[in-house]
Amino acid sequence: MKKSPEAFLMAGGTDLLVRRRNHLVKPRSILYLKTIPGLSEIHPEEGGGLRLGALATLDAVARDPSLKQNYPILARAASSVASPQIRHKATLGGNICLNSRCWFYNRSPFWRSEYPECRKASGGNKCYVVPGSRKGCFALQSGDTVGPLVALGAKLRLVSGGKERIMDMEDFFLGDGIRYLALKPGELLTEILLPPPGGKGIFKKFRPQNNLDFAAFTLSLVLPGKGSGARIVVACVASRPLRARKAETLLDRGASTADVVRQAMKELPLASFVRGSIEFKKQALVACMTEAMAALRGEGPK
Amino acid sequence: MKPLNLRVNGEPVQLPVEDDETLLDVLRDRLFLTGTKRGCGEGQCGHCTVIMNGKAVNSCLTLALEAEGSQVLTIEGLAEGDRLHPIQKAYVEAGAIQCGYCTPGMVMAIYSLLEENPQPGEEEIREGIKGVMCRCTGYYKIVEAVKTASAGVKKHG
Repeated sequence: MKKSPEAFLMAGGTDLLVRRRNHLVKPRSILYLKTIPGLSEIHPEEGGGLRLGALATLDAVARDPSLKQNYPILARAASSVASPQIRHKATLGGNICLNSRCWFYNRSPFWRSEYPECRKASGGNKCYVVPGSRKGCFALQSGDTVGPLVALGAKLRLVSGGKERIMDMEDFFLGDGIRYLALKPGELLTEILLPPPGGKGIFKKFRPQNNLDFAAFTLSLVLPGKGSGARIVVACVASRPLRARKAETLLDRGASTADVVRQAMKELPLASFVRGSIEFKKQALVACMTEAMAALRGEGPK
Repeated sequence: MKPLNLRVNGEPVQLPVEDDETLLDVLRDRLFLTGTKRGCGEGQCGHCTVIMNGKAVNSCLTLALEAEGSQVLTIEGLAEGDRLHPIQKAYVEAGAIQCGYCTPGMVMAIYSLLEENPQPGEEEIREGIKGVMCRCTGYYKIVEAVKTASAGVKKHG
């Protein structure tokens, strides 16, 4: 990376090669990461956590017995990504670092040529995710595994040269469609660290059709075994995963499902109408959240 | 140009390739294995599916140089002479070919599915072939073919 700073990093390549084909990037050189040894394994950690190499394929994450047993929401999210063909190549690290996407930007040059360019594509001054906006890019964080990882309280190991730092999964996303990751130039995500398992969780991926498409939103809900620390994470609806913190506190205090859902909807800033209008997504989210919470709390359907 | 070494359908292959060529380019345009089809080029249609080191991948989303040292199996490598592979046989019997364009990719996806799970249920079959799009939308016959083939593969194995 030092030798050719302009090089693009490629793991599975299932996103980069499509962007290259759509002339969104023109890599002069590509640094192929998959030949780095030791970064595709899943290791148990002392103290009960799990350490996942960033190059573990989504297929491996979806099938790993210890993940299925102890972190089922992550295994389910990995298995919900696109197709078996994609999951055989795409990696967990790649899914986390996946470039932000939107319905305008991630198209062929021919398709885009019909419309004024957007702010993410060079030279444009439009945003098709939040059309009324005056500046900024609102392209969406789109990796399906991101929501569950935030809900599980995962940490990331970032390595640059000989140095490394550990970062909370939540802080990794800056909330800007163009500069969307906290990765510094020359820095590489090498491992994902999961805390010891506990409690129960639910993952729901909502998409208008059960096809290969990206999610309209994902909902990850984690209830800890005892005490506080519930997490409600809605992802793929903004440039960063969203947490409903006030609703989490209500949930910790044992508020009713309806109150928690109402509070969550009040504080979640859904801005995108990609894959469904905001109103549609809100209704779908209320239904998903109510159902998920009822299931987790052992309440029957109402 | 960089040298590329791999095995395609069991045969060792050595040829120089460009950095930005895909595995699909090499299979179709250099080795003339045109059974593998070029569809969308962005991993959605799955018509370019081949088996690389035992796993189904989109060859359009695989750089040729990624395949260095690997074993690649394409639709041309399934039959033994005139003897069709059980999946191909089941396909013919069920009338699952239809227009035929998705067939090579679909058969390779099914091959990968049955390697991982020799007796898939209906839902597992549908998930397994999700990565290949059939424009005839004749998925019912394809699922029937997988069911017949899974019984056949078991008998062979």
